[in-house]
Amino acid sequence: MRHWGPLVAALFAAIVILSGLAFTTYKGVVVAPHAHNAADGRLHHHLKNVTRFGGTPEEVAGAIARAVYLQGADVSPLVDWREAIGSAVAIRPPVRHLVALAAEGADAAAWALPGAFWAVYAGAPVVFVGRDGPTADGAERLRRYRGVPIYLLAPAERVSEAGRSALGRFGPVQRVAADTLAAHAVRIAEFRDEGSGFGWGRRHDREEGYFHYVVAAPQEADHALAALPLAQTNAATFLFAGRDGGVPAATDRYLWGQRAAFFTTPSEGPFRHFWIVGNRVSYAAQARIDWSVEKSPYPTLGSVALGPMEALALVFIGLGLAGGIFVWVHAGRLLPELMFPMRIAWTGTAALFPVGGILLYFAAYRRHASTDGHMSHWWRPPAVVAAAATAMSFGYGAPLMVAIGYLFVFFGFPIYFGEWADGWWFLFGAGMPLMMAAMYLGAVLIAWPLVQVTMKSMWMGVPPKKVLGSALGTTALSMAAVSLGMMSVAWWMMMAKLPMMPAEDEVMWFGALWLASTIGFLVAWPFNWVMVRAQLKPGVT
Amino acid sequence: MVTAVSRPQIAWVAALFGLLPLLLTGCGDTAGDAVLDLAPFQERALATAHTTRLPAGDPETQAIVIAQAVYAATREENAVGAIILARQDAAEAFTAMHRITHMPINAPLLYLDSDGLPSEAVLREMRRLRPDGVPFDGKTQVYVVGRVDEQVRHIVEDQLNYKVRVLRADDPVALAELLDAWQAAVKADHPDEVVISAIDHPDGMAHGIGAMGWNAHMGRGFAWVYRNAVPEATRRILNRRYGDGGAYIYLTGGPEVISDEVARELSQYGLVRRIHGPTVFESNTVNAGYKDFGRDFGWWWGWEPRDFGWGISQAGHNFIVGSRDDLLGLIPAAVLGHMGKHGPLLLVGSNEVPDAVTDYLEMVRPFPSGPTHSIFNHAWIIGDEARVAWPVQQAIDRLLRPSGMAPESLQLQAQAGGEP
Repeated sequence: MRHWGPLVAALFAAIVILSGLAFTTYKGVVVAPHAHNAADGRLHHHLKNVTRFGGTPEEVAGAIARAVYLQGADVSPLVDWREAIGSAVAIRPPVRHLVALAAEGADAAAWALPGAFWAVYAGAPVVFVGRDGPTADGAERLRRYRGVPIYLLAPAERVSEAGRSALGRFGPVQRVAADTLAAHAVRIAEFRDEGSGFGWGRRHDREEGYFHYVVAAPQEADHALAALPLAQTNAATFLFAGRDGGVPAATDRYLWGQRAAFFTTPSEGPFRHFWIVGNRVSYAAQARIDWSVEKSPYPTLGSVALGPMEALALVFIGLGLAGGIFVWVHAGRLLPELMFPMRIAWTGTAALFPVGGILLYFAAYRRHASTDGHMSHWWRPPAVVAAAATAMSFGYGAPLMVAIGYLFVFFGFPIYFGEWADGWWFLFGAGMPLMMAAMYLGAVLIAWPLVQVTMKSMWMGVPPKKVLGSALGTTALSMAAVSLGMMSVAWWMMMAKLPMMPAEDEVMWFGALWLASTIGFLVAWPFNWVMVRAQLKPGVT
Repeated sequence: MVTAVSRPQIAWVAALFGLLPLLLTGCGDTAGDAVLDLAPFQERALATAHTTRLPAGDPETQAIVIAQAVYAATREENAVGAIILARQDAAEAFTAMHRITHMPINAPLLYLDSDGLPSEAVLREMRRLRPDGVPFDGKTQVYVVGRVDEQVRHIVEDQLNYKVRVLRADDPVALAELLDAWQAAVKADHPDEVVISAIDHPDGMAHGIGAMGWNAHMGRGFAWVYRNAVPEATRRILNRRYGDGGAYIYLTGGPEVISDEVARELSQYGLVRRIHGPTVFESNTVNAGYKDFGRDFGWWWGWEPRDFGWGISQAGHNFIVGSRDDLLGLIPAAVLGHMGKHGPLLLVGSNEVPDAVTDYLEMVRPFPSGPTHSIFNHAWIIGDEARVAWPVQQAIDRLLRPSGMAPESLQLQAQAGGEP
């Protein structure tokens, strides 16, 4: 069995790379695996992007009063949530819109919270509405502000279409609402009507705003009402946590859209801040909220989030993997005369040289072929011969280099320093150059005995022992040609282009090396033309 | 010939597509127990609209309180890369924060106790922080820095099973050189911008603590000088800079802290600048607004500019405020400039906000703007009320508020709730 060598080399690279990609995917979707003991021994509950006030609603109200008015205050227990909202809103003329809130139903106070925070911020009059029309007080206020736009912040289950029509007798009405509490709060956080000045307009594309948010669980509406003054001092929007203390999907989606990117340094702003009030929000949820808005570099938006360059990288990698699978299946089914080691080589080439690898594969094999009895030869123009020769080494070399690099980062770079490391000598002990040297040497030492000796002996029709030396030279030269482009681009991407060197569980680690591999192929291509001319490589199989 | 797709193939595809949603939905959630316990320092962690206090009465606890604010540690990405352990020696801790904290290390500083060993509280916090290990340094999880007993390494390795690197040097000057060599190996680079502070001046660190915060934020170089002399270790550090102009050197303090003679001597290694004011308070407000940019090195078709300093002169920033009398407690707070809202360190008196800080914060005071682009400042107050009094925190909050948001006017508005 002469195929075991290439197969072992390919499987080693494939297992490392694919498990690395799977691990990166897992890290992207896992939520809070260490939450069970991450709060052990905490001395306080604040986090860098979250201030937390717990205790009874009165205690929260006292803490908020101290925060807002800079002095302690004895706060009476809340009597009625409608009164609490009414007394918190200081109406500021000119009145440009009215806020209509549902007055009845289960969780009515919770449903009113997102609108109440806006009303306090904007100084907009609040109108309470029953299921089919305004309350008596509400109707009186509506008459006073007749003709002013009304924003009905309740879904149809709480204020019916009849109720909406009843409001319409006093002014134009627009319903801004969603079906769940979490989605309702997000809808109000995102909505903006420039004409009437209603709405926070804090969508994901508001990149530069310093947004504050108050977060509470629905069953702790009284705690949230106590935090209404923050809408005024901090322009705080209200968002819901879940009844189970977690972050609901709608809130989670919104929060990750609020992560700000930095272009120069993370100190450039903006930052977002949360005020969690009440006791129900879990520590895991608080930590996720805190982490979701951690400022991150623009290309990647940090770990977990997906930055624009990462998105491109994922498409690039996806095209590569799809191309590799396609070539493997296509060659297996439709090119039975293709040698097994070359089938692996083209699969690796298509995987690490997205799109281009497939095009060259077709260019190499949609041609007339002849056989000399033990292998087939395809009639190709010189450029394609050189490409096939490049694929022969690149298809193994690039995946092996990526795999070895991954293992280095996964287990940690070795570094060396000391008095000897003066001048430029320090680079011989630095992690990045050591990793690159190991990638090259490792790829040569694996591909040489397992792959290149096998292939060369098949090509020349001689026993493997007779080609050991020449195969080593060819392998070293071929890998050097690939490395020239690959290492240069990998260094540039990781050390210069990306603001922070990516670790092995970040998409851009793979993205950088995928791009580097592609450039590695292009740089190696003309060198392989020289090697074909020198009869060091075949390029016709 | 194309063969029909077999049942095992269908099973493989089905399994693959079955695993995907499992992966996406089966990785835990954020639901959990209510946070009912009153953490012992929570009541003292006073928050105002635009400030948050991280209170402690001693440096060891202060460092823990700060680490807990920065690192939630519920997952690898919000836990630490590594932990710095140092004695309660200001110069050693100062040197460590200059060079270790920043990415790719991502490490808060925790102090050893007065016996030079990790206390139970520190070990518990180290356990909570779950260091992931620095991939660019052999997955090191703990850096033991300075003149620390070997026993510390054994305790950490035995009790926590963390991988330790000891960076031991006889004095802070040598420690700076050791850390410079170590960082060069980690990053394959010697940053050409080098902050220099005076080790033998009583206010040398106070003048330079703001610049130390910049290094914790951006990871540039650091070295010590004496007021009237340049140590050999510092000369060697500066000789290793390869910018077009050699090094770009930032002296923290005026001529009374680092003499003009030293500045002249240092100029043989590159461009020398000073970040300073007449008092430690002003040196740090100057640092907060300081920006130096221009040439670093160029080569054929590539060029790398230097870009040093916060350069904050407008609204929309965070500040880390601590007492000039509590440098040991304030040094670990530089990690707040490394994560979260970032931002420079400012010094105040325990019972007063110096004019320099007032003037600076007035300059960067926000103004009211629309809800889609609101702008705010924020400040961390470091230490308990004995270190930074509540009235000082109140005063800082007032200075950070957007104009027109003074608490008195808010109270008037609140009392007038209802119809105008």
